Amino acid sequence: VIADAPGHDGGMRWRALVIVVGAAALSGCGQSGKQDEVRTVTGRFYAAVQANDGSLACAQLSEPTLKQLEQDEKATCSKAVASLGLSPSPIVHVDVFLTNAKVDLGNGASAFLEQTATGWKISALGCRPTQGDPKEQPMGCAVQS
Amino acid sequence: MRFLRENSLSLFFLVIFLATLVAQAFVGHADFNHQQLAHQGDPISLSHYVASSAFSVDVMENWQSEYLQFTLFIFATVWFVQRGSPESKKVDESGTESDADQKVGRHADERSPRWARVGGLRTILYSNSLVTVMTAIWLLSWLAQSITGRIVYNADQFDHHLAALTWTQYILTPDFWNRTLQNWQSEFLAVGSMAVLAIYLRQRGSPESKPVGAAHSDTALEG
Repeated sequence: VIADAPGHDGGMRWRALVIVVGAAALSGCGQSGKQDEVRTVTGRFYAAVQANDGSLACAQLSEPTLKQLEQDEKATCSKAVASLGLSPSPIVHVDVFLTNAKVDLGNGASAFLEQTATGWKISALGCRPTQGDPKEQPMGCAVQS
Repeated sequence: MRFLRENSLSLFFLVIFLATLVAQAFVGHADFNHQQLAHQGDPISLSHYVASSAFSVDVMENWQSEYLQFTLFIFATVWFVQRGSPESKKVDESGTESDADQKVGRHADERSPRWARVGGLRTILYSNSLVTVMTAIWLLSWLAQSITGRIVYNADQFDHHLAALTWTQYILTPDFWNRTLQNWQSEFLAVGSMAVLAIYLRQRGSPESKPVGAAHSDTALEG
């Protein structure tokens, strides 16, 4: 009967499970590396803004976000990013899930990043909870694609 | 050749398991990258995808439901019967049966496994070892589904500028239970319908079927 079947290859299934659990554990191994990259990109952006290095700041933005910023501010990215009045603040928390990340700053604002072919890029800046639960209601962002 | 012949059932399923897992990796990768492009993201490599939670959650949610299916089937058929089904015991044999029927303790013979002969806790453990191990695999793969599912869910949350959920918050979401229940219902339907269809239908030569000429009312007969 069918109930007999799992017993015969139980050892094989155990080994398969160990392999998959191992693979799942390995998939988490690159997590701290990703967090470091996300932290570096965000820190580089705010340092560039503070140093009035618009081109370096813009190099940390994703392509759609950069275009949206230029469109909204009706200026080149280098000039537009300086006009946002973003104040630097220490990074207090970094979360990375797959190809998306969120960085929380000490001033209560958050930035969202995404992994692109050229590394992690900022896709939204100056994001703060609007109304209701931020797990249900999207945050309002000063810059987003 | 003898090894292959004597283990052909396990080997057949091992080969088609690996083949379908590889195929799932390729099509899952293509689908993931399609979604990335649709959300203005960049494609990722196949190796990156296979090592990601996006692939793992799809594998784990199916594994857990399959192991639950077999665990329940093994456990339920101890007490529940289906008259006329080759998947069931005879109607009057419901329960864990006598030591003599199960060849444990002093009823064991020289070919019985040692833990079936020795009695005490070891025999109790061995008497329930199949369900115990199957349950452990089910729970581990369900746990893996919840961990990897949360990662995929939170990636989507960030993509929409929403906050992340903790694990305890995630296992209460419709996403977790939708992934879980959509698999459970199909497994339960498949097992239940096979137990009933096998009352009236036959597959010549299969131990999952009664002999072709067996009466519909015959229970616990294997072809």
